[in-house]
Amino acid sequence: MTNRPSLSQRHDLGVLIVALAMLAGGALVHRYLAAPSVVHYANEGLAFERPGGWLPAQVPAVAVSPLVQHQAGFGVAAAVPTRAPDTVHTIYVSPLDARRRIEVRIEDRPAYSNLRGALAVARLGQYGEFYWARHSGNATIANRDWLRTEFRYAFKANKGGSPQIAEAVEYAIVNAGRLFVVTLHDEPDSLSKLEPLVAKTLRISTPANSPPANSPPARPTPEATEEAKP
Amino acid sequence: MLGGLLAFVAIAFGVQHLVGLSTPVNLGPVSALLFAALPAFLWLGYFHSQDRHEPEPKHYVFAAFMLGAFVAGPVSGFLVDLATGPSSPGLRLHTLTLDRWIYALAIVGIAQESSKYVAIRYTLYLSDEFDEPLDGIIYMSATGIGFASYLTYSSLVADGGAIYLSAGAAQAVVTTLAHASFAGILGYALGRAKFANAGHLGRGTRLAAGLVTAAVFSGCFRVIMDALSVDGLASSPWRRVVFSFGFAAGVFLITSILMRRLLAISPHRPAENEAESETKNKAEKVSSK
Repeated sequence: MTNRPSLSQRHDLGVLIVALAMLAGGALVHRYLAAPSVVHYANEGLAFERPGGWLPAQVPAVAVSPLVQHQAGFGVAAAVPTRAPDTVHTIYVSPLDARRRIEVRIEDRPAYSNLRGALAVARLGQYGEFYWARHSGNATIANRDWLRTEFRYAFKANKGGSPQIAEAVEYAIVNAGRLFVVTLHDEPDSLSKLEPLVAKTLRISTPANSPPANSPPARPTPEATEEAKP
Repeated sequence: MLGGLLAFVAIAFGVQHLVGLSTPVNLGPVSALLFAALPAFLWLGYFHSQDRHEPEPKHYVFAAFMLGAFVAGPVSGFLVDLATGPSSPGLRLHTLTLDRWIYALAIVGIAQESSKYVAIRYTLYLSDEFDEPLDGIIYMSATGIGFASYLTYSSLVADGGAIYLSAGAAQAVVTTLAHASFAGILGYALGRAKFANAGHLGRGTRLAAGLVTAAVFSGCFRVIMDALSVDGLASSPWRRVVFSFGFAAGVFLITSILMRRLLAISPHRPAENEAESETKNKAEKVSSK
């Protein structure tokens, strides 16, 4: 009686198993080594994780809303609005592409009861008429409902540069009388890489020393704390 | 064949300098296909001509080429995408980091060589035409050439068909040589494994060793292509061609040595006594003159 070789022996399936095991092991090690370094952002109860190695935080100029300009009259320079002292407005820019940015805005909740309308007016003031919203809806992250809005706008990386189209996703929430807006900017069709990295880590909590809702915030603005994670 | 390959690069170089092309040229899909296929067919002819004692049927060799282009190429691309996942938006400027080595050796190398192996192991390896160890190198190198054509065509299409004509032509020739040689090393293991009297474990070990060796060469080639194509912040295509050619030529030398060893033990080689009688006759003729 002869020993007939098994199917795996006849077809050398062991070689394939070894190759697939090496591929899977390589993939696991590579994913671990190539995972982007992450920095933890925390300020006024807002927390999220963003890619490390980006340029230091920048404070953008205060935008003059077209509505303010209209009120001042055509051809008349409108008074440059000043930022409220307890407003936080910070932008983190990727060194690889100036369109890839994370923008954080923390301010008093708008006077409008319609949050969507207030955010739309703020975007109009920031991006002017070359801005158009694509989609808006609720997104639940860690049991909190955020207002998620996708939009596009024309963008110049620097003064005199040619205009480009940038895409953004805005996450907004009102908590303890404060409005928290985190906006992720990137070139069109590339947000799919940045958004999953940041959006899922968005957390909002009420600081212990925060005033009750609707009371005027009289405290100094706490500095954002950042902690690099390997 | 080798003259044809040199002529291909020389013509591209001449056209670029005669027309005064200092910027990349846009190739359409048909031109890109020709650009990838021309060096491939010349290399295919070269490797096929090495099978002197009993040349394999041309349609079988062409089938191996097609398996490389239409099976091994897409399958390896799928495996690499599956293993790496979506690319991260992090900042990476270092070219020789550990994660790049792991990516090149354990992901790209293994995926590419496994795909070539599968393409031949479960098709032509089982045929009656695969009747001597040398056939492993012939069929596998044809698969490697088809695979390289797929890579060249894919990269041309991905860049919108824009290349520096002379450097692109040289790179197509080198990439084809490199993948033919890597696959040739795996083919050596395949041929020896089929005709050796080793058990299943011995055959499997031989095949796995051949696969890993080919994957290591393929991964190193990938690192050279990625890391040495940039000089600081500038991209230098000729630097990449020179380094990758040096590496590919080294592996080609190893494959040639293996091919000669298998030719020497080929069951189809002319009988020794016939060869001896031929040399005696020649010697007698020379002495009579």
